[in-house]
Amino acid sequence: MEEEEISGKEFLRPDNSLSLAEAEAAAAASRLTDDLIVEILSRLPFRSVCRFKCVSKTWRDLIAHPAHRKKLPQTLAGVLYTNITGAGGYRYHLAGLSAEADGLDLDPSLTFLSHTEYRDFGLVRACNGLLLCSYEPEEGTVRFVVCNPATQRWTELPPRPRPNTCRYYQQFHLAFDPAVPSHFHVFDFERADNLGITGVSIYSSRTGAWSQSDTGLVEDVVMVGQSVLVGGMLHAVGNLLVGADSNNWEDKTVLVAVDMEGKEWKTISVPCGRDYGIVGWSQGCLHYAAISPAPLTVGVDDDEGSLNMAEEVAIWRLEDYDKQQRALKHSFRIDKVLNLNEVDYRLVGFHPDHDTFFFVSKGIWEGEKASLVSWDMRRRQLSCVLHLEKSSVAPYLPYVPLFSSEPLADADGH
Amino acid sequence: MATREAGKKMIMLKSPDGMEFEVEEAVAMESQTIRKMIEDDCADTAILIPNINSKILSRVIEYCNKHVPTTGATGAAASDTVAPAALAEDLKIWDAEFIKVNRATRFDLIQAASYLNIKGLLDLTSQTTIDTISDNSLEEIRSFLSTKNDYLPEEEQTIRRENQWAFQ
Repeated sequence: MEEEEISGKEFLRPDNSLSLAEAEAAAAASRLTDDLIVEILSRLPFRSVCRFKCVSKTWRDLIAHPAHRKKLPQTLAGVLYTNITGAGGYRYHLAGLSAEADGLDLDPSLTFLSHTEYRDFGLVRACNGLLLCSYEPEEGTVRFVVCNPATQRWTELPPRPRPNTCRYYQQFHLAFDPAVPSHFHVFDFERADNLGITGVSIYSSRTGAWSQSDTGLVEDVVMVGQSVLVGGMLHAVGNLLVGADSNNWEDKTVLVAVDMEGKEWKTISVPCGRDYGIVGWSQGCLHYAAISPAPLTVGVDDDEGSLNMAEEVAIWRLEDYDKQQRALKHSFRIDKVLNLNEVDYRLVGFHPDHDTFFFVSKGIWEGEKASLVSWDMRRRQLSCVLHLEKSSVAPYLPYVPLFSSEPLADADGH
Repeated sequence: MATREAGKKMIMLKSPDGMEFEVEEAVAMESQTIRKMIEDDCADTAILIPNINSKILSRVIEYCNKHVPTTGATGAAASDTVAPAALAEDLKIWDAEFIKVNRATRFDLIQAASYLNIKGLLDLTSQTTIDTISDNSLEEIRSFLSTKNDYLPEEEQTIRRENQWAFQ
């Protein structure tokens, strides 16, 4: 289907066709307005947008312009966390990680919520720019607020028709896909005490209502950690409840995947480690990290004493999702980085666009401040250490801002 | 060019170079811009489409003809026999063939899709452009989009250093 057939003017002699085609292309390109350039660039991943900044000053300014942030991909601004003040109240902070984050008009301390009746809510999840917060208006009931610190919009979810008796925040999850920006889903997994999940209540912002589904899993599993949205399904870290007599704890950790209707369920086995691992999305692949008890990298300077203290963080990448093919991407001996006699640590997450991994370290002595630490996988070194506010508490949520007002367009509060 | 079928309302689209295209209203309304004009009763006889020449307009109409949802008695029968997945696959193949055009035409199609507000066509043309250039060198990108490097050498060094990770 050659366009040359359509207009007679396009018939060119082969020897001068190139230059004329070039001139026409240049003329057509010059008619592309700034908005159209941004429209084209909006389809790139963040990494490529950074390369395109180097094309010209005009493009750099175009990309940096606040009016275009809504369309262009953003990267990790930092890690959101809570600290408990002397008076027992909660404060919210962003440990900023990117230079760009300073110039962004964010409200990570969530002051826009402080004018509301909600106080001392828990930060539960961050998913592609939206935050899920929970609070207890009275003992025994949990209510949810979904907000966007970049647009300062928020909405309170209606109460669940059937209150959940289980109120561990590990059971609450948020799913928001920027490719379908008009709505989000909140998951509240149900479980009986000491038993696995029995089902899930899902709130859809499209219907504005909760709906209940029974579990589609045969395994007994509880949710124990973070989640990530992949291919329209929520993937949350879960733990298989195996019989008390089973000592085979190696196969106990799974990712529980559920679709937005609660109809399709599956589990993906992931390597087990000390504590629960963390899941994330980086550079087009699902990533999973755990503190591996074995095998350990033995260094030339290791002796029996140091090997007793050895702990290794192992990072896997799911290279082929459909075949569940995973590969060990990176591992490092954390006891070589931290003095584990004096410092405790917790895995936090992955940079969505770099080979960088985050954890929080904290001195084991009372009153010591915690730090957010970046580990550069390529250079195999610590790349950044940020001191956090005193008495910081989990969860530590990697946060990528979202400047589009679409998902909370009809929100109650803004 | 569209032919008149019984019972189907037709709309006349005019390009600035004087060509006229008679198309079914449903096809024209694939463009949200034209849809709004029709719904606001601003389109009694013919609609002049500014800035889009007849060559590009005919391609846009070709796209809309292919993408207009089949409705009504015959359409319903057709979608009963063809699975939606097969239809979508067929459209994908058709789109890939449709977008095999030179750069000038593609840029003009982007502009037309934006002005006429045809989301599918804007997605197709923009995505194809990105797929073509995303792995190219800066010089190739500049040449492809005919944009000038207006950095001073030292400025370019700085911005390259700041974004070095993105080139690795």
